[in-house]
Formats: sequence, C-alpha cells, structure tokens
Amino acid sequence: MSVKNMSFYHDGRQWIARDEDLEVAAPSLTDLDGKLREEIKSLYSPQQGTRLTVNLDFDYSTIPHWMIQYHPYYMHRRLEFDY
Amino acid sequence: MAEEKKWYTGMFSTEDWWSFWIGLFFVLVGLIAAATGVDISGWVIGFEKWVDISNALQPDHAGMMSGISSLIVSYIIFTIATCVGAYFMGMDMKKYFWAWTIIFWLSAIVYVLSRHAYIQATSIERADFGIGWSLSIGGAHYIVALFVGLLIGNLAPKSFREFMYHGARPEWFIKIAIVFLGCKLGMKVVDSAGHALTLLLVGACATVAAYLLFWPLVYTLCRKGFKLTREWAACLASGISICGVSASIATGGAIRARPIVPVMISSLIVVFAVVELVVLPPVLTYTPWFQEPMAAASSLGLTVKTDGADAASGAITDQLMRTRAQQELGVQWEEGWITSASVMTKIWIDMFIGVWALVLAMLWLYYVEKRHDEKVQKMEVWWRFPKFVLGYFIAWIAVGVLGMTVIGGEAMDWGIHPFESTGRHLFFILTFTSIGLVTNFRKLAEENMGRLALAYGLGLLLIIIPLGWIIAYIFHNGMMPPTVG
Repeated sequence: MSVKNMSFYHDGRQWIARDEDLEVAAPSLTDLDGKLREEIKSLYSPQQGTRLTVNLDFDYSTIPHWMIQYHPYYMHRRLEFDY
Repeated sequence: MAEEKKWYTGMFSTEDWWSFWIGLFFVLVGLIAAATGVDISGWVIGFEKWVDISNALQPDHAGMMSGISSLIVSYIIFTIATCVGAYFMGMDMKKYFWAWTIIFWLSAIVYVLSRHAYIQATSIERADFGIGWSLSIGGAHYIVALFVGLLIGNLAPKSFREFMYHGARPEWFIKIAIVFLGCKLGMKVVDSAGHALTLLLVGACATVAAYLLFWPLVYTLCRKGFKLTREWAACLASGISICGVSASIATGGAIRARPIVPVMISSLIVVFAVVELVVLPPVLTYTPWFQEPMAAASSLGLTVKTDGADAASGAITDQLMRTRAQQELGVQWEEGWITSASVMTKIWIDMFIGVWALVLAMLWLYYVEKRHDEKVQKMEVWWRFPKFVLGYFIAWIAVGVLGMTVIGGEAMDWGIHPFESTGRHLFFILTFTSIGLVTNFRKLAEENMGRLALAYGLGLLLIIIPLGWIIAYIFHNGMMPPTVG
C-alpha cells in the first residue's frame, strides 16, 4: 500500500482522523501526524525505505450547513511518511 | 469514504459548480433562441412598475403569454433547474423544494408590491402613470425583500428558521445571477468593446492594490491592537480584506486552523455585510460619490464582503443612482453598469483567493509551524478557484463573439435579454430574501464575539472602507456608465 485516504475533523477539543481500519486523535495536528505515523507503522509494518502518502480529507459536513455554500471545502492535507 | 481529490472533484456536487452549470445552461438557451429565432427564452418573468396591478407581471418577450402564466412557467423551470442541482449536491430534496418554493413566492409577492408606481416611479415617469407624487425609491423591492428575510430569519420560531436554511442559498443564487451578468458585458462588447475591457482591467489593478494593502494592515491591527493569535488574526484579516466568508474558510484551511475560527469569523462577516449593504448604497448615492458612480460601485467590491452582499449593494446603488441621475441631471444611465463595476472588482478578488491560500499554506507549513511531513498541494489554486467566474467569462466571451459575428447584435439581444436582464433581476431578489433569512443578529451576542466584533468593526471603519474608497477612486475616477437614448 502506498496511498491511504482518510477523513478527519475537529470535535471542539481535538483533531480526529479515521478510516475503516483505524482512528487517531490528538489536540494538535503535529501530534496527530506523529500518532498517525506510529499507528500505520504498527498496523501495516511498512518495509524500510518505503514512502506512504496519506491523504487527509476534512469532513466538510461538520462545518455549519449555512457556511458550506461559500467555499467548496475546508482543507485537504497530504502527508508523506518515510519509513 | 474519503477519496483522493482530483482536478474534477466536486464538478457535480458543489454549489460553485452548479452555479456554473445552471447559469450556462440558460445562457445556452438564450444563444439558441438568438441563433434560430425560435422563442425559447422569452418566458422569463419580469416585474413592471404599476398603478393597475394587472400590469405588474409581464414575460420578457411581451405578448408571449400572460403575466401570471409567465410567473408560473418561470417558477416551474427554475424549480426544476435548482432541484437538479440540489439533488446532485446531496441536499434534503423535500426540505429544499418547500423552502425554495416559499422563498420564490415570497420574493415574487414582495417584488410585485414594491414595484407600485407610488413607491418606485421617478418624477419623470409620474405623468405616464397618472400620479402626482411618488417616493422614487429605485430598488425598493430589494430592500423590502432583505428586511422580510431578516424579520423571518431573526424573529420566526427556531424550527422554521432552520427549515428555511435549506432553501436560502444566497451565494448560489447570486453566482447564477453573476453568470447571467456576464451576458450583459458580452452585449457591451458587441456595442462597444472599450468600455467593458476597461472595466475588466481597472478591476484587476484595484484588486492587487487591495490584497497588498488590506491584508497586512488588518493582520497587524489584530495582532498588535487586539492581541489575537496568528490563527485568529490571519482568518479575520482574510475575511475582512478579501472575500469574506470564502476567504475566511480558505485561509483557515490553508493555515490548518481549528474550524471554530472561520466559523465564528464568518458569523460576523455575514452580519456586518448586511449592515454595509443597507448603509453604503444611500451613503454613496447622496454624497459627492454620486459624481463618480463607477468608482463608487467599485468601492463596494472592495469593502462589502460576500459575493451576495456585494452584488446586492451594487444593484441597489445602481437603482438609486440611476433614479437620481434621471431626476436631477435628466440623464438616463444604462442599467447594470454600476452593478457590473461592483461585481467585477469582487470577481477579481475571488479569483486570487486560491493563490492567496497557497501562499499562506506554504508560509505556515514551511516557515511558521515547520511541519515537514506535510506537503502543500499546488492544485489548491484550482480547487479553491471560484468556478462561477468561469461561467461569467464564458458567457461574456460567447455572447460577445457570437453577437459580433454569426448571430448579430439585434438577434443576440432578443435571445439573451430574458436571462441577462429579467432572469438576473429575479435571481437578485431571491438573493436578497435569502441573505435576510441566513443573517442571524443573535450571533453577535455569543460568547467571545465581543473582541472579534470590535476588531472587525474597527478594521472595516479605519482601514477597509477609507482605503477601499481611495483605491476605487484612483483606478475608476472619470468612468461613467453609458447613457441610453
């Protein structure tokens, strides 16, 4: 696996990233990225020297309904983890 | 399930794209009518000034059908069009349909009643209507629609207010109207290319000046004056300096802010935009700005945030200034040019939001927060690009080129006028009603809003409006709307 697509949102206290296989939460994005790197490592055991791209798509349905007409999305993050 | 974002992602699921599709669909209908001479566009309902209410409604192509029939046909066709968009956008169809229906008919009633000659007839028109006096409030229908919306949006029971949000889509409606407005500029290219192109170029110049001046000044005010954190200062600076809610969201996303930041700021933006929409048009009309109508209109594009409120304030100013010019100067300025000037500046501002978001994202990720695992995607410039602007320019170019060549100006005007003018006015009033419905003044009383509201208000009064007026004057002074007759 070289690409992983996940959705994420903020619940008022922390960022939460999830897909069918895992869910990670942290108060800051830096912490979230760090936890995600470790969880993926323990779950998938990527080979040494590989790069995994994680596309984090913000769940726009968590933004108030009246606002979403103003802009098509909030953010898409692309993380690249080298193992 | 999350998917990797492609360049075509959202093409059939976002409001921005659906303003493109719906707007251009009807432009195409107009072009076909113009090219073939078959009247498939003249059904669009127009609302006339009246003393005898039986004359209040008329299709754009008079005589095609009765006024009531035109109103019903317009409702059916625009309902189908917007429901198709609503379906693909995943809206609750039943709630959208009923909320939209209420907004459409409420707007129509307001439009009819507000067009009474005693309210809107100019002094020159009174004799034609057989009346001895009139208030001469051009654009009264827009203001009444806004206030009716505000009354419902702030005083109706909460369940009804929330139900109406499903149909109150001011940004969607105004973007469709702006695509129609592109046809007007296309017709102006047919008549005289210079005026339209000049407006295009000076709008661009004003925008660059605004970006480079507004944002740093407001950011500094927020950081040094109000001690806001970078997160809040950046989103507020974008919201107040660039294009309101859209810029606030784009900036929040670019700098990876918590979503509560753009949400709270956006609540403020919407409320302040409505206040500006009510205050600025009469201020510009009844001060020396009246001598510089195009500069005044351009200043609205720089100072009124949200596309809906900017276009709406441009439309009111258009009506007020033309009425005053006709009565006091005996000059009839062509309808829509003042509106176009306010919209053009905003369109340029909107177009650059993707670039600005990319610049901020790179600054934040690589220099401020130094998150080395994350990569900034240059496609953000396209993803955040306002797609309705493509529709606006396509309409402009198609009408202009075809009108000057294979179709001809007269035929083009006949075919496209129902959407360029009558349809545009209809979508404008739908926008006004919807702006009122979604503007909730209670937001100002929420916790932690006080300091933000003060920062926003002072930024607007001390930086945005004064500088916006100066920039608009520098680039637009001396430009006048074309005259009719």
